[in-house]
Amino acid sequence: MIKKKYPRLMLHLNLKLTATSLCVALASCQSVQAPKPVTIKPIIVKTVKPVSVKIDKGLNVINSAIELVKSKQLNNAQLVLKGYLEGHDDNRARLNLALIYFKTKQFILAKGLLQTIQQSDRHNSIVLEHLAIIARHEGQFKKAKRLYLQALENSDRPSIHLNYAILLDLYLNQLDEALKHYTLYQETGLAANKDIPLDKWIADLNRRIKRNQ
Amino acid sequence: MLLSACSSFNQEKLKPSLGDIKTIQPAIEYSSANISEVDLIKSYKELLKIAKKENQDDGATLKRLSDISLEHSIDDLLSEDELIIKRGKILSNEAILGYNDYLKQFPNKPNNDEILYQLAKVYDINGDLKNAFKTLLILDKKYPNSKYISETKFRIAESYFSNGVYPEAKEYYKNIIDHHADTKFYRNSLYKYAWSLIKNNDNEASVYAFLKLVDLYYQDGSITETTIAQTTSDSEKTLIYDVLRAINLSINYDLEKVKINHYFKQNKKPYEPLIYESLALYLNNKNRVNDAASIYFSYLEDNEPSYVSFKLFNKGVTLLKPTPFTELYLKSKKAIVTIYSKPSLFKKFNLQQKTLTRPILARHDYELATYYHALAQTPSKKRLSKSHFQLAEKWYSLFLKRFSGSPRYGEVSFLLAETFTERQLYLQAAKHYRFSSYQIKKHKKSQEAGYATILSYQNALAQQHKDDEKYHIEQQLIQSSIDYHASYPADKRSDDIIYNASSRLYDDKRYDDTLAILLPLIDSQSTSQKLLQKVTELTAHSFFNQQHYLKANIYYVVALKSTSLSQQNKQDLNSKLAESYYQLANQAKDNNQHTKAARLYLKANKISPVTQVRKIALYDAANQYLVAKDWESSISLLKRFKNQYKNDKKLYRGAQEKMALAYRSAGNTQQAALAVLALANNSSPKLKQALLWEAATLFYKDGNTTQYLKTYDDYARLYPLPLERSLKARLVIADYNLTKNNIVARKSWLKSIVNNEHKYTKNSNQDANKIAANASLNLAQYALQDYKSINLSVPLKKSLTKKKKALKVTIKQFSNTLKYADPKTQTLATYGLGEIYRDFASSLLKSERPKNLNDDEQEEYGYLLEDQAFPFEEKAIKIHKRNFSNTQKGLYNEGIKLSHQSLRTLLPFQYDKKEISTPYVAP
Repeated sequence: MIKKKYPRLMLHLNLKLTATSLCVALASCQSVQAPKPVTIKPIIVKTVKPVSVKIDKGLNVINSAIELVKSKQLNNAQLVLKGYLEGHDDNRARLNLALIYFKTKQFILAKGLLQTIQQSDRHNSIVLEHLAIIARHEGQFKKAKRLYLQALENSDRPSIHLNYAILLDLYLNQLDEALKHYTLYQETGLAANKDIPLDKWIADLNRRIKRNQ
Repeated sequence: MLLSACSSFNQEKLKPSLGDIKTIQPAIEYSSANISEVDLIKSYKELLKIAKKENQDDGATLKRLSDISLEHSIDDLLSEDELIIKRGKILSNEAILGYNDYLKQFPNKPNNDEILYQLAKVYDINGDLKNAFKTLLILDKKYPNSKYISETKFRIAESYFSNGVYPEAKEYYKNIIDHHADTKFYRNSLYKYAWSLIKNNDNEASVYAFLKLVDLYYQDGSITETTIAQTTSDSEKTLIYDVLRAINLSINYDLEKVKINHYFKQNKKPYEPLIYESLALYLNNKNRVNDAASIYFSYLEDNEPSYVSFKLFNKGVTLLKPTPFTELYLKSKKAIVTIYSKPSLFKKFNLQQKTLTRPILARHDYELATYYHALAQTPSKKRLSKSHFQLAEKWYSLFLKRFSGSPRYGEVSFLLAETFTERQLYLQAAKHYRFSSYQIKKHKKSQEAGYATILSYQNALAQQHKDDEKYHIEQQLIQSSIDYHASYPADKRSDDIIYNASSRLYDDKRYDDTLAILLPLIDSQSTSQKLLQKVTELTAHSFFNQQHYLKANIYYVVALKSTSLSQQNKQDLNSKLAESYYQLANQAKDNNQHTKAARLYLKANKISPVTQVRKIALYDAANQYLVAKDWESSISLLKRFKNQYKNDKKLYRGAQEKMALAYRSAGNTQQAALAVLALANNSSPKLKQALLWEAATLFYKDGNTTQYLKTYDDYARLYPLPLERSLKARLVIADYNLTKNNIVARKSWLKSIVNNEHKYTKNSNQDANKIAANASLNLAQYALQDYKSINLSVPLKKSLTKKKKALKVTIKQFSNTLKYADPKTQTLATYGLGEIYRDFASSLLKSERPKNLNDDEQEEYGYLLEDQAFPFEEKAIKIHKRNFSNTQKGLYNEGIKLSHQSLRTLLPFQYDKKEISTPYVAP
């Protein structure tokens, strides 16, 4: 009980004892050999700079949402991004959420988010492209055309050419121009991967152009 | 002082008498020798004897002896002892003998003038006046330069005067006056000279002579300008009185010819007032009052007005005082007031003079004014009353102008106002009464004047016909009433006066002013209960007319608490109280305090004795509850209203309408619908249509199928126009039949829509067109269903004929739909057309095959069917393409999308194209 009550005191006594023992040992040394001067190097104290770690919480959230999208868990991805955006202003998350809405045909919600992004990022071609598709869905074909053209000014992504060509071909009957953008898309070689019978589309289009001539 | 001086004037002594003249002798002292003893005479006699004996007599001893004898004789003769008198006689005789002897012995001695003088003296003592006079004549003649000459001449004059020889006396006196002015005989000579002139009937000259004497008294200080000095000796006073009396006599003798002021025209005298007053008193004592007064007045003729002249003038006026008023008295009074009350003169008086003068002048003025006032009121003088009133007015006015400090000032101001009242000049009377009552120091008549002010303004108002003037007078009347009440609140009439004034203001719509009078009365402890009631009522009315309804309301409530109200009064007050509640309600309504407004309207409804007010208030209360969304209260009041006022058709209808609104707003659409329907049944045809529609709508909203079907049906039947509502009513019924799967009935109503739209196509609009287009489309879709229900089975010819027939019907129906200019139905109809062709082609291909065909025949049959079906499919593609091509015009709707869907299948390489999207964007 007593030891437990004074543990520090006991430690001190132990140390004292150790020092005394050491002195005894030195004393015996002195008596054998004269001490040599010892050159003591000064201690160099390195100043350690603090490492500033910028934690990008959004990055993890978006990546995890993308993983969910990839695994076709669109609802969960939507919940993750929506929850994150309630506390954060992050266009990356906002764009991915808009794309999920688009995919699930919630065009009004998608359009709202895309327009929000557009306020701070006017030239985002993905935003412009998807707004164009939504405009086409709404029957606003001229607006859709304008948005596609804006997207093309900022990007040469193949999907823009394809989507724009469909608008021109089906809805606006601007066949020559449609052919041009189908061809541009075809040149990227992506058509095969997308299971799009682009050759047949182009053939049919050429036929119609010829017939019109 | 002045009066006391006057009273001390001994009038008795001034009574003139010729006999009195003799009693007054000049105070002449003879010079006398210094004789010590009688024995001395004996000694001198002895001495004379001795001198004569020795021839040494040069006359000195004889002269001395005569002088001593003379001296002693004078003393002895004054004794009362007869023996001594006798001795005196002896001595005087001895002196006479002595002096005569001397003159004989020494006739040429230079000092004989003295001997003659003594001789004359002793003759005179001895009573031998004749010899004395002769002796004096000798002396005057022989010794003109004698030192005794002035006395000699005086004694000669006196002697002449005593003997009535006035011309000679006058000459001797004049000689002394002219040549011996420095002697002691001068004044007496002057006096006697004047008298001599009187005796010679030269009164004018005598006056001048006497005035010379008065000059001397004035120089001595024995007299002042107006009176005899107090310090003057009694004897001197007696003499002065005598002189004045003589002057009075002289002037009086010629008074008719020569006025008193004549004597001072050339030579002004400071003591003129004394002379004037002396003469006036003299004449007054002779009972010549008018003459005396005229003398007083005449002083002013040649003298500037002054305090002295005022005093004289006033004495003149005072002499004339006795009634009746004479013309002279009136004139003099007018003159004294007019002249002496002038400020330009009056200010020259010192304070004491002013103090003494003012009340006298005021009294004269007052007497003049009241005299004329009384005269004007005399019935026998009625003819002249106007001018008398004017004169009274003149003198009263002057009084007020000049004698503001007079104790009679108030009375006079009142009397002046009275003169106007008596002449019925009420406006002027009022002005003066007002002045008398309020603008001067309080007096006995102040209150009466205050009351008379009000009466006069009232009379003036009755006389006046011009509105502007009337207004002005009325303002004065009101102000006077206010003043009266403020000044004499204890007067019993005061209450009525102030109330009348406030009533007049109220009638003039001057409510602020009315309240300015009334409110203090309400606050006052002294206002009587009776007045307080009237004041409270008028206050309430005033506030009401000022649109201060809350205050009005409070005062009406207070007024109604009175227990002494008549039935009519109570009813009137209740009516106004109700109106005030009504107006307060209006204000609350304007301030959007609708519940409060409703409660106030209800109060008006409860209180008002007027049916109309009660009715309107109840109606408005219900309406305000309605606005306040207190539906229950509103409905309750509206029910009450409908029960109570069935005869008021207009408001009754309004109540019905509001009731419907209240029910509808309260969510009680059933009751609302019933109310509207009831309203519709009592309405004009035009209104009925609208209400019927509203009722149908409400029933529909309420889900009351029976009612809404019936009401819409009634509406559709009765009112084909406006087309939109008519078609909508039919559509509701058609849709109802759809819910009940009553397709026949539904088709019937849809056809009626299409037919009616066609019938009234000129009255159609976009909405009506849309309804008809939909109906037409629905009919086409029913036709499509009928068509699809027909299967192509063996024998094909029969079923094909039936299906083709149905195809035609359906195509026609869709084609009909295309006629409506509604893009939505047009594209759907087009799509329908495309689909029916597509379906027909498909039906052909899928039709039942004859069972008795071999394989080749089966194949051939198949080709034949394809050939048959192909044109229909081509037709379908064409129609869908046309429909889809609307996108190029910017059109994109359900029909187009459906056509696109069909085309995706029919022409997949051309139409089955979908945009690709980005699934995600990695950060």
